[in-house]
Amino acid sequence: MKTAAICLILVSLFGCVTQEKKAIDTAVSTQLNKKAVTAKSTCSSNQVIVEDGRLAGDSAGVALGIDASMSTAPALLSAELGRVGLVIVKTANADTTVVLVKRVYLSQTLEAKQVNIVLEVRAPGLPSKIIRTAETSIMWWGSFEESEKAMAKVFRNTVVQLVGHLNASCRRT
Amino acid sequence: MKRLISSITLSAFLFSNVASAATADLPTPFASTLPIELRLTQQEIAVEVPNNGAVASLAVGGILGALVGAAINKASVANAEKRVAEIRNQMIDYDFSKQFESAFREKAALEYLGPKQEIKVSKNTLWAEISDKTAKPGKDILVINPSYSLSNKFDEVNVRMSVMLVDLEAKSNGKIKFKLKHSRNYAYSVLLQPGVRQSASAGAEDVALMGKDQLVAMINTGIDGIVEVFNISLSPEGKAKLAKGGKSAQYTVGEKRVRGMLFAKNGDGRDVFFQKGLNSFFVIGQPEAFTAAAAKTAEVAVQANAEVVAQAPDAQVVPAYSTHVSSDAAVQPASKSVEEDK
Repeated sequence: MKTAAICLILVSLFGCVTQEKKAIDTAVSTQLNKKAVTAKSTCSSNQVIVEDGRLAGDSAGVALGIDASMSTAPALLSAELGRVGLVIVKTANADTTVVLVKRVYLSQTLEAKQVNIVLEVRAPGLPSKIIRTAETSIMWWGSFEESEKAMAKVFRNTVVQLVGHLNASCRRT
Repeated sequence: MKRLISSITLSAFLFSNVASAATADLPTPFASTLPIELRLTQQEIAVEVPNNGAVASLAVGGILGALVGAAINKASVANAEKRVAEIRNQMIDYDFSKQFESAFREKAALEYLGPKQEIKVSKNTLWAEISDKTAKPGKDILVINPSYSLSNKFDEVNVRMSVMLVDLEAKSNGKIKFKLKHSRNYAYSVLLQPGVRQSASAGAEDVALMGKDQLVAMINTGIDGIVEVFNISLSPEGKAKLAKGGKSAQYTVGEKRVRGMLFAKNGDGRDVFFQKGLNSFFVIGQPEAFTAAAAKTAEVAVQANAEVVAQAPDAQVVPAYSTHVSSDAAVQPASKSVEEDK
Protein backbone atom coordinates (compact mmCIF):
# COMPACT_ATOMS: atom_id res chain seq x y z
CA MET A 1 0.00 0.00 0.00
CA LYS A 2 2.82 2.35 1.00
CA THR A 3 4.86 1.52 -2.09
CA ALA A 4 1.87 1.96 -4.37
CA ALA A 5 1.14 5.34 -2.84
CA ILE A 6 4.76 6.47 -3.37
CA CYS A 7 4.63 5.27 -6.97
CA LEU A 8 1.38 7.11 -7.58
CA ILE A 9 2.88 10.40 -6.46
CA LEU A 10 6.18 9.86 -8.26
CA VAL A 11 4.57 8.82 -11.52
CA SER A 12 2.23 11.81 -11.36
CA LEU A 13 5.14 14.15 -10.79
CA PHE A 14 7.40 12.67 -13.41
CA GLY A 15 6.30 15.17 -16.02
CA CYS A 16 8.17 17.92 -14.10
CA VAL A 17 11.37 17.08 -15.93
CA THR A 18 9.96 16.88 -19.43
CA GLN A 19 10.84 19.33 -22.13
CA GLU A 20 8.53 21.65 -24.02
CA LYS A 21 5.34 19.97 -25.15
CA LYS A 22 5.20 19.25 -28.88
CA ALA A 23 2.57 17.88 -31.20
CA ILE A 24 3.25 14.28 -32.08
CA ASP A 25 0.84 13.62 -34.94
CA THR A 26 3.00 15.15 -37.67
CA ALA A 27 6.15 13.57 -36.28
CA VAL A 28 4.57 10.11 -36.24
CA SER A 29 3.37 10.60 -39.80
CA THR A 30 6.94 11.49 -40.84
CA GLN A 31 8.25 8.37 -39.09
CA LEU A 32 5.66 6.23 -40.87
CA ASN A 33 6.70 7.72 -44.21
CA LYS A 34 10.34 6.84 -43.56
CA LYS A 35 9.68 3.15 -43.14
CA ALA A 36 6.85 1.41 -44.96
CA VAL A 37 4.71 -1.30 -43.39
CA THR A 38 5.60 -4.70 -44.84
CA ALA A 39 2.05 -6.09 -44.81
CA LYS A 40 0.09 -6.39 -48.05
CA SER A 41 -3.66 -6.68 -48.48
CA THR A 42 -4.63 -9.76 -50.49
CA CYS A 43 -8.27 -8.87 -50.46
CA SER A 44 -9.03 -6.55 -53.35
CA SER A 45 -12.75 -6.36 -52.58
CA ASN A 46 -12.23 -5.19 -49.02
CA GLN A 47 -13.58 -1.68 -48.50
CA VAL A 48 -12.55 -0.09 -45.25
CA ILE A 49 -13.59 3.01 -43.36
CA VAL A 50 -11.68 4.17 -40.28
CA GLU A 51 -13.68 6.07 -37.66
CA ASP A 52 -12.86 7.64 -34.33
CA GLY A 53 -14.53 5.59 -31.60
CA ARG A 54 -12.63 7.04 -28.64
CA LEU A 55 -14.34 8.29 -25.49
CA ALA A 56 -15.00 12.02 -25.61
CA GLY A 57 -12.04 14.17 -24.72
CA ASP A 58 -9.58 11.35 -24.08
CA SER A 59 -6.00 12.44 -24.31
CA ALA A 60 -3.49 9.95 -25.60
CA GLY A 61 -1.23 10.79 -22.70
CA VAL A 62 0.90 13.82 -22.13
CA ALA A 63 3.32 12.73 -19.45
CA LEU A 64 6.15 12.39 -21.96
CA GLY A 65 6.17 16.11 -22.52
CA ILE A 66 4.46 15.91 -25.87
CA ASP A 67 1.03 16.78 -27.10
CA ALA A 68 -0.01 13.22 -27.77
CA SER A 69 -3.71 13.80 -28.19
CA MET A 70 -3.30 12.06 -31.56
CA SER A 71 -6.48 13.59 -32.90
CA THR A 72 -5.42 12.55 -36.40
CA ALA A 73 -5.00 8.87 -35.47
CA PRO A 74 -7.89 7.70 -37.72
CA ALA A 75 -6.48 9.67 -40.66
CA LEU A 76 -2.98 8.29 -40.08
CA LEU A 77 -4.33 4.77 -39.94
CA SER A 78 -6.42 5.31 -43.09
CA ALA A 79 -3.33 6.49 -44.95
CA GLU A 80 -1.33 3.45 -43.88
CA LEU A 81 -4.13 1.05 -44.82
CA GLY A 82 -4.39 2.70 -48.22
CA ARG A 83 -0.69 2.14 -48.78
CA VAL A 84 -0.93 -1.58 -48.13
CA GLY A 85 -3.60 -1.94 -50.80
CA LEU A 86 -6.93 -1.61 -49.04
CA VAL A 87 -9.71 0.45 -50.57
CA ILE A 88 -10.45 3.31 -48.20
CA VAL A 89 -13.95 4.75 -48.49
CA LYS A 90 -15.49 7.82 -46.90
CA THR A 91 -19.02 6.50 -46.58
CA ALA A 92 -19.87 3.07 -45.22
CA ASN A 93 -22.28 0.68 -46.86
CA ALA A 94 -23.30 -2.92 -46.13
CA ASP A 95 -20.05 -4.29 -47.59
CA THR A 96 -17.74 -1.93 -45.75
CA THR A 97 -15.48 -3.06 -42.96
CA VAL A 98 -15.63 -0.47 -40.18
CA VAL A 99 -12.45 0.06 -38.15
CA LEU A 100 -13.09 1.99 -34.96
CA VAL A 101 -10.12 3.58 -33.21
CA LYS A 102 -11.01 2.88 -29.56
CA ARG A 103 -7.82 3.88 -27.74
CA VAL A 104 -4.50 5.52 -28.53
CA TYR A 105 -2.40 6.34 -25.51
CA LEU A 106 0.95 6.47 -23.85
CA SER A 107 1.45 5.38 -20.30
CA GLN A 108 4.54 5.07 -18.22
CA THR A 109 6.20 4.03 -15.03
CA LEU A 110 9.34 5.76 -13.87
CA GLU A 111 11.57 4.02 -16.38
CA ALA A 112 9.35 2.25 -18.90
CA LYS A 113 6.92 3.67 -21.42
CA GLN A 114 4.12 1.92 -23.25
CA VAL A 115 2.19 2.87 -26.33
CA ASN A 116 -1.23 1.27 -26.73
CA ILE A 117 -3.48 1.27 -29.76
CA VAL A 118 -6.81 -0.51 -29.62
CA LEU A 119 -9.12 -0.99 -32.61
CA GLU A 120 -12.50 -2.60 -32.99
CA VAL A 121 -13.01 -4.20 -36.40
CA ARG A 122 -16.53 -4.77 -37.67
CA ALA A 123 -16.34 -6.80 -40.86
CA PRO A 124 -19.59 -7.66 -42.69
CA GLY A 125 -20.93 -11.05 -41.65
CA LEU A 126 -18.36 -11.57 -38.89
CA PRO A 127 -18.38 -10.90 -35.15
CA SER A 128 -16.54 -7.74 -34.15
CA LYS A 129 -12.93 -8.17 -33.12
CA ILE A 130 -10.70 -6.12 -30.85
CA ILE A 131 -7.17 -5.64 -32.11
CA ARG A 132 -4.78 -4.45 -29.45
CA THR A 133 -1.19 -3.49 -30.00
CA ALA A 134 1.12 -2.47 -27.20
CA GLU A 135 4.82 -1.85 -27.03
CA THR A 136 6.81 -1.46 -23.84
CA SER A 137 10.25 0.06 -23.92
CA ILE A 138 12.70 1.59 -21.50
CA MET A 139 12.57 5.36 -21.17
CA TRP A 140 16.23 6.10 -21.87
CA TRP A 141 16.31 9.81 -22.68
CA GLY A 142 12.67 10.80 -22.44
CA SER A 143 13.14 12.63 -25.74
CA PHE A 144 10.49 13.59 -28.20
CA GLU A 145 12.07 11.47 -30.94
CA GLU A 146 12.09 8.43 -28.66
CA SER A 147 8.36 8.83 -28.11
CA GLU A 148 7.44 9.44 -31.74
CA LYS A 149 9.43 6.38 -32.85
CA ALA A 150 7.68 4.24 -30.26
CA MET A 151 4.29 5.52 -31.39
CA ALA A 152 5.12 4.97 -35.07
CA LYS A 153 6.32 1.43 -34.33
CA VAL A 154 3.03 0.58 -32.66
CA PHE A 155 1.11 2.08 -35.59
CA ARG A 156 3.05 -0.17 -37.98
CA ASN A 157 2.42 -3.25 -35.82
CA THR A 158 -1.26 -2.34 -35.63
CA VAL A 159 -1.51 -2.14 -39.41
CA VAL A 160 0.20 -5.54 -39.76
CA GLN A 161 -2.26 -7.12 -37.31
CA LEU A 162 -5.24 -5.44 -38.90
CA VAL A 163 -4.29 -6.41 -42.45
CA GLY A 164 -3.65 -10.00 -41.33
CA HIS A 165 -7.12 -10.10 -39.78
CA LEU A 166 -8.77 -8.56 -42.84
CA ASN A 167 -6.96 -10.96 -45.20
CA ALA A 168 -8.15 -13.89 -43.09
CA SER A 169 -11.68 -12.46 -42.93
CA CYS A 170 -11.69 -12.11 -46.70
CA ARG A 171 -10.88 -15.79 -47.14
CA ARG A 172 -13.71 -16.77 -44.80
CA THR A 173 -16.41 -14.66 -46.47
CA MET B 1 19.95 7.93 -19.47
CA LYS B 2 19.19 11.56 -18.77
CA ARG B 3 15.64 10.49 -17.94
CA LEU B 4 16.86 7.91 -15.46
CA ILE B 5 19.20 10.34 -13.77
CA SER B 6 16.45 12.96 -13.68
CA SER B 7 14.05 10.48 -12.13
CA ILE B 8 16.54 9.59 -9.42
CA THR B 9 17.13 13.25 -8.62
CA LEU B 10 13.42 13.95 -8.70
CA SER B 11 12.70 10.99 -6.46
CA ALA B 12 15.21 12.20 -3.91
CA PHE B 13 13.65 15.66 -4.00
CA LEU B 14 10.16 14.28 -3.69
CA PHE B 15 10.90 12.06 -0.77
CA SER B 16 11.83 15.06 1.32
CA ASN B 17 8.95 17.10 -0.08
CA VAL B 18 6.30 14.44 0.41
CA ALA B 19 7.49 13.64 3.89
CA SER B 20 7.22 17.26 4.98
CA ALA B 21 3.88 17.71 3.23
CA ALA B 22 2.46 14.66 4.97
CA THR B 23 2.85 16.05 8.45
CA ALA B 24 -0.09 18.48 8.33
CA ASP B 25 -3.79 17.97 7.77
CA LEU B 26 -5.45 19.45 4.71
CA PRO B 27 -6.17 23.05 5.76
CA THR B 28 -9.90 23.33 5.09
CA PRO B 29 -11.93 25.33 4.35
CA PHE B 30 -9.91 27.12 1.68
CA ALA B 31 -9.73 30.84 1.22
CA SER B 32 -9.19 30.15 -2.48
CA THR B 33 -12.05 30.59 -4.91
CA LEU B 34 -10.31 28.52 -7.59
CA PRO B 35 -12.09 25.38 -8.72
CA ILE B 36 -10.99 21.90 -7.69
CA GLU B 37 -9.16 20.26 -10.56
CA LEU B 38 -10.30 16.73 -11.37
CA ARG B 39 -7.51 15.29 -13.52
CA LEU B 40 -9.02 12.29 -15.30
CA THR B 41 -6.17 10.85 -17.31
CA GLN B 42 -6.46 7.05 -17.17
CA GLN B 43 -7.91 5.34 -20.24
CA GLU B 44 -7.80 1.66 -19.32
CA ILE B 45 -7.44 -0.44 -16.21
CA ALA B 46 -3.81 -0.63 -15.09
CA VAL B 47 -1.82 -3.39 -13.47
CA GLU B 48 0.27 -2.23 -10.55
CA VAL B 49 3.86 -3.12 -11.30
CA PRO B 50 6.16 -3.25 -8.29
CA ASN B 51 8.63 -0.45 -8.78
CA ASN B 52 12.14 -1.81 -8.99
CA GLY B 53 13.61 1.27 -10.59
CA ALA B 54 14.49 4.65 -9.28
CA VAL B 55 12.94 4.16 -5.87
CA ALA B 56 14.87 0.93 -5.34
CA SER B 57 18.01 2.50 -6.77
CA LEU B 58 17.90 5.16 -4.11
CA ALA B 59 18.34 2.41 -1.58
CA VAL B 60 21.13 0.55 -3.37
CA GLY B 61 22.69 3.71 -4.76
CA GLY B 62 24.15 4.61 -8.10
CA ILE B 63 23.29 4.30 -11.74
CA LEU B 64 23.82 0.54 -11.88
CA GLY B 65 20.90 0.05 -9.54
CA ALA B 66 18.74 2.22 -11.74
CA LEU B 67 19.65 0.27 -14.88
CA VAL B 68 18.99 -3.10 -13.32
CA GLY B 69 15.79 -1.76 -11.87
CA ALA B 70 14.71 -0.40 -15.24
CA ALA B 71 15.31 -3.74 -16.95
CA ILE B 72 13.29 -5.60 -14.36
CA ASN B 73 10.59 -2.99 -14.51
CA LYS B 74 10.30 -3.24 -18.30
CA ALA B 75 9.85 -7.01 -18.11
CA SER B 76 7.26 -6.65 -15.35
CA VAL B 77 5.36 -4.04 -17.29
CA ALA B 78 5.41 -6.14 -20.47
CA ASN B 79 4.18 -9.25 -18.62
CA ALA B 80 1.42 -7.32 -16.92
CA GLU B 81 0.35 -5.79 -20.23
CA LYS B 82 0.13 -9.22 -21.83
CA ARG B 83 -1.99 -10.63 -19.03
CA VAL B 84 -4.37 -7.71 -18.76
CA ALA B 85 -5.23 -7.49 -22.48
CA GLU B 86 -8.29 -9.76 -22.35
CA ILE B 87 -9.66 -7.95 -19.31
CA ARG B 88 -9.17 -4.60 -21.04
CA ASN B 89 -10.94 -5.90 -24.14
CA GLN B 90 -13.96 -6.82 -22.05
CA MET B 91 -14.01 -3.33 -20.55
CA ILE B 92 -13.43 -1.43 -23.79
CA ASP B 93 -16.60 0.64 -23.42
CA TYR B 94 -16.31 1.27 -19.68
CA ASP B 95 -15.76 4.98 -18.99
CA PHE B 96 -13.99 5.24 -15.64
CA SER B 97 -13.51 9.00 -15.97
CA LYS B 98 -17.20 9.63 -16.49
CA GLN B 99 -18.15 7.30 -13.62
CA PHE B 100 -15.70 8.98 -11.26
CA GLU B 101 -16.73 12.49 -12.25
CA SER B 102 -20.43 11.70 -11.73
CA ALA B 103 -19.78 10.12 -8.33
CA PHE B 104 -17.56 12.97 -7.20
CA ARG B 105 -19.93 15.69 -8.33
CA GLU B 106 -22.89 13.93 -6.75
CA LYS B 107 -21.41 12.65 -3.50
CA ALA B 108 -18.29 14.62 -2.50
CA ALA B 109 -18.96 16.88 0.49
CA LEU B 110 -17.59 20.02 -1.15
CA GLU B 111 -19.01 22.20 1.61
CA TYR B 112 -16.07 21.09 3.77
CA LEU B 113 -13.65 22.67 1.28
CA GLY B 114 -15.24 26.07 0.96
CA PRO B 115 -18.43 27.87 0.02
CA LYS B 116 -19.62 27.38 -3.57
CA GLN B 117 -16.66 25.20 -4.41
CA GLU B 118 -16.55 24.56 -8.15
CA ILE B 119 -15.04 21.64 -10.06
CA LYS B 120 -12.96 21.82 -13.21
CA VAL B 121 -12.34 18.65 -15.22
CA SER B 122 -9.22 18.09 -17.28
CA LYS B 123 -8.00 15.08 -19.26
CA ASN B 124 -4.39 16.27 -19.00
CA THR B 125 -1.92 15.97 -16.16
CA LEU B 126 -1.01 19.07 -14.20
CA TRP B 127 2.64 18.33 -15.01
CA ALA B 128 2.05 18.50 -18.73
CA GLU B 129 0.41 21.90 -18.30
CA ILE B 130 3.27 23.12 -16.10
CA SER B 131 5.72 21.79 -18.68
CA ASP B 132 4.12 23.61 -21.61
CA LYS B 133 3.33 26.68 -19.49
CA THR B 134 -0.43 26.46 -19.96
CA ALA B 135 -1.11 25.92 -16.25
CA LYS B 136 -2.93 28.82 -14.65
CA PRO B 137 -1.16 30.33 -11.62
CA GLY B 138 -3.06 30.41 -8.37
CA LYS B 139 -2.97 29.61 -4.67
CA ASP B 140 -4.58 26.69 -2.86
CA ILE B 141 -5.49 24.64 -5.92
CA LEU B 142 -6.79 21.21 -4.99
CA VAL B 143 -5.74 18.68 -7.63
CA ILE B 144 -7.46 15.29 -7.59
CA ASN B 145 -6.24 12.42 -9.72
CA PRO B 146 -8.14 9.10 -9.52
CA SER B 147 -6.92 5.79 -10.92
CA TYR B 148 -8.04 2.17 -11.07
CA SER B 149 -5.96 -0.94 -11.27
CA LEU B 150 -5.49 -4.62 -10.64
CA SER B 151 -2.71 -5.80 -8.35
CA ASN B 152 0.22 -7.48 -10.10
CA LYS B 153 -1.03 -10.88 -8.86
CA PHE B 154 -4.55 -10.10 -10.05
CA ASP B 155 -5.94 -10.73 -6.59
CA GLU B 156 -7.09 -7.18 -5.82
CA VAL B 157 -9.06 -4.48 -7.59
CA ASN B 158 -7.97 -1.04 -6.46
CA VAL B 159 -9.43 2.40 -6.91
CA ARG B 160 -7.08 5.14 -5.77
CA MET B 161 -7.23 8.90 -5.55
CA SER B 162 -4.30 11.23 -5.01
CA VAL B 163 -5.12 14.65 -3.62
CA MET B 164 -2.68 17.54 -3.63
CA LEU B 165 -3.00 21.11 -2.47
CA VAL B 166 -0.64 23.24 -4.56
CA ASP B 167 0.35 26.79 -5.31
CA LEU B 168 1.34 27.67 -8.86
CA GLU B 169 3.33 30.85 -9.33
CA ALA B 170 4.29 32.50 -12.61
CA LYS B 171 8.01 33.27 -12.75
CA SER B 172 9.53 36.17 -14.68
CA ASN B 173 10.86 33.80 -17.35
CA GLY B 174 7.34 32.50 -18.05
CA LYS B 175 7.83 29.19 -16.28
CA ILE B 176 5.42 27.99 -13.63
CA LYS B 177 6.77 27.35 -10.16
CA PHE B 178 5.08 24.47 -8.38
CA LYS B 179 4.73 24.32 -4.60
CA LEU B 180 3.26 21.26 -2.93
CA LYS B 181 1.53 22.30 0.30
CA HIS B 182 -0.18 19.06 1.17
CA SER B 183 -0.65 15.62 -0.34
CA ARG B 184 -2.71 12.62 0.64
CA ASN B 185 -3.94 9.41 -0.93
CA TYR B 186 -7.13 7.41 -0.76
CA ALA B 187 -7.58 3.78 -1.74
CA TYR B 188 -10.40 1.27 -1.83
CA SER B 189 -9.26 -2.27 -2.48
CA VAL B 190 -11.45 -5.28 -3.14
CA LEU B 191 -9.84 -8.62 -2.41
CA LEU B 192 -10.66 -11.12 -5.14
CA GLN B 193 -9.34 -14.46 -4.02
CA PRO B 194 -8.86 -14.79 -0.32
CA GLY B 195 -6.99 -17.87 0.71
CA VAL B 196 -5.98 -18.79 -2.83
CA ARG B 197 -2.34 -18.19 -3.61
CA GLN B 198 -1.78 -18.70 -7.31
CA SER B 199 0.22 -17.38 -10.22
CA ALA B 200 -0.44 -14.01 -11.82
CA SER B 201 -1.38 -15.73 -15.09
CA ALA B 202 -3.99 -17.89 -13.37
CA GLY B 203 -5.24 -14.86 -11.48
CA ALA B 204 -5.62 -12.86 -14.70
CA GLU B 205 -7.49 -15.77 -16.28
CA ASP B 206 -9.87 -15.89 -13.32
CA VAL B 207 -10.53 -12.16 -13.49
CA ALA B 208 -11.24 -12.44 -17.22
CA LEU B 209 -13.62 -15.35 -16.50
CA MET B 210 -15.34 -13.33 -13.82
CA GLY B 211 -16.60 -11.04 -16.58
CA LYS B 212 -17.02 -7.34 -17.14
CA ASP B 213 -20.16 -6.74 -15.11
CA GLN B 214 -18.76 -7.91 -11.82
CA LEU B 215 -15.43 -6.17 -12.32
CA VAL B 216 -17.20 -2.92 -13.19
CA ALA B 217 -19.39 -3.32 -10.09
CA MET B 218 -16.26 -3.65 -7.95
CA ILE B 219 -14.64 -0.59 -9.54
CA ASN B 220 -17.79 1.47 -9.11
CA THR B 221 -17.99 0.34 -5.48
CA GLY B 222 -14.39 1.48 -5.11
CA ILE B 223 -15.18 4.88 -6.65
CA ASP B 224 -18.08 5.44 -4.26
CA GLY B 225 -15.90 4.07 -1.46
CA ILE B 226 -13.06 6.55 -1.84
CA VAL B 227 -15.41 9.51 -2.25
CA GLU B 228 -17.05 8.43 1.01
CA VAL B 229 -13.69 8.19 2.78
CA PHE B 230 -12.74 11.59 1.32
CA ASN B 231 -15.86 13.01 2.99
CA ILE B 232 -15.14 11.26 6.28
CA SER B 233 -11.57 12.57 6.33
CA LEU B 234 -12.73 16.17 5.80
CA SER B 235 -15.61 16.04 8.27
CA PRO B 236 -15.19 17.76 11.65
CA GLU B 237 -15.07 14.31 13.29
CA GLY B 238 -12.43 13.11 10.86
CA LYS B 239 -10.26 16.18 11.32
CA ALA B 240 -10.56 15.90 15.08
CA LYS B 241 -9.48 12.26 14.87
CA LEU B 242 -6.49 13.18 12.71
CA ALA B 243 -5.49 15.94 15.10
CA LYS B 244 -5.74 13.57 18.05
CA GLY B 245 -3.72 10.86 16.27
CA GLY B 246 -3.44 7.31 17.40
CA LYS B 247 -1.27 4.26 17.42
CA SER B 248 -0.49 2.33 14.29
CA ALA B 249 -0.72 -1.44 14.36
CA GLN B 250 -0.89 -4.41 12.02
CA TYR B 251 -4.34 -5.74 11.21
CA THR B 252 -5.71 -8.60 9.16
CA VAL B 253 -8.67 -7.83 6.91
CA GLY B 254 -9.91 -10.86 5.03
CA GLU B 255 -6.60 -12.47 4.08
CA LYS B 256 -4.69 -9.21 3.79
CA ARG B 257 -2.37 -7.75 6.38
CA VAL B 258 -2.38 -4.01 6.64
CA ARG B 259 -0.61 -1.53 8.84
CA GLY B 260 -2.16 1.69 9.99
CA MET B 261 -4.38 3.42 12.47
CA LEU B 262 -8.07 2.56 12.71
CA PHE B 263 -9.50 5.88 11.60
CA ALA B 264 -13.25 5.41 11.19
CA LYS B 265 -16.02 3.13 9.94
CA ASN B 266 -17.61 3.74 6.58
CA GLY B 267 -21.32 3.46 5.81
CA ASP B 268 -21.00 -0.29 5.22
CA GLY B 269 -19.36 -0.78 8.58
CA ARG B 270 -15.95 -1.39 7.06
CA ASP B 271 -12.83 -0.15 8.77
CA VAL B 272 -11.15 2.91 7.34
CA PHE B 273 -7.42 2.89 8.03
CA PHE B 274 -4.97 5.77 8.03
CA GLN B 275 -1.25 5.50 7.36
CA LYS B 276 0.46 8.48 8.85
CA GLY B 277 3.71 8.36 6.85
CA LEU B 278 2.09 8.96 3.50
CA ASN B 279 -1.20 10.49 4.59
CA SER B 280 -3.01 7.49 3.11
CA PHE B 281 -6.60 6.59 3.89
CA PHE B 282 -7.70 3.15 2.77
CA VAL B 283 -10.45 0.59 3.00
CA ILE B 284 -10.15 -3.10 2.28
CA GLY B 285 -13.36 -4.39 0.72
CA GLN B 286 -13.87 -7.88 2.03
CA PRO B 287 -15.09 -10.47 -0.43
CA GLU B 288 -18.37 -11.15 1.35
CA ALA B 289 -19.90 -8.10 -0.32
CA PHE B 290 -19.47 -9.80 -3.66
CA THR B 291 -20.20 -13.33 -2.58
CA ALA B 292 -23.65 -13.56 -4.09
CA ALA B 293 -22.59 -12.17 -7.45
CA ALA B 294 -19.43 -14.28 -7.46
CA ALA B 295 -21.34 -17.43 -6.64
CA LYS B 296 -23.74 -16.73 -9.49
CA THR B 297 -20.84 -16.18 -11.88
CA ALA B 298 -19.19 -19.37 -10.71
CA GLU B 299 -22.43 -21.28 -11.21
CA VAL B 300 -22.78 -19.99 -14.77
CA ALA B 301 -19.14 -20.81 -15.51
CA VAL B 302 -19.56 -24.34 -14.16
CA GLN B 303 -22.64 -24.84 -16.33
CA ALA B 304 -20.77 -23.53 -19.37
CA ASN B 305 -17.88 -25.86 -18.63
CA ALA B 306 -20.25 -28.79 -18.25
CA GLU B 307 -21.61 -28.05 -21.71
CA VAL B 308 -18.09 -27.90 -23.14
CA VAL B 309 -17.26 -31.24 -21.54
CA ALA B 310 -20.45 -32.76 -22.91
CA GLN B 311 -19.54 -31.66 -26.41
CA ALA B 312 -15.86 -32.55 -26.28
CA PRO B 313 -14.95 -35.02 -23.55
CA ASP B 314 -11.22 -34.48 -24.03
CA ALA B 315 -11.41 -30.70 -23.80
CA GLN B 316 -9.61 -29.08 -20.92
CA VAL B 317 -12.03 -27.67 -18.38
CA VAL B 318 -11.37 -24.08 -17.45
CA PRO B 319 -11.84 -23.63 -13.71
CA ALA B 320 -14.64 -21.38 -12.59
CA TYR B 321 -13.85 -18.17 -10.78
CA SER B 322 -12.66 -19.15 -7.36
CA THR B 323 -14.05 -16.54 -5.05
CA HIS B 324 -14.34 -17.54 -1.45
CA VAL B 325 -18.00 -18.20 -0.66
CA SER B 326 -18.97 -17.63 2.90
CA SER B 327 -22.28 -18.29 4.57
CA ASP B 328 -21.69 -15.31 6.79
CA ALA B 329 -22.64 -12.28 4.75
CA ALA B 330 -22.00 -9.81 7.54
CA VAL B 331 -19.01 -7.48 7.29
CA GLN B 332 -16.28 -8.77 9.51
CA PRO B 333 -14.19 -6.24 11.36
CA ALA B 334 -10.44 -6.21 11.03
CA SER B 335 -8.63 -8.36 13.50
CA LYS B 336 -5.50 -7.05 15.12
CA SER B 337 -2.75 -9.61 14.71
CA VAL B 338 0.31 -7.88 16.11
CA GLU B 339 0.82 -5.75 19.17
CA GLU B 340 0.63 -2.04 18.69
CA ASP B 341 3.60 0.00 17.59
CA LYS B 342 5.16 2.23 20.13
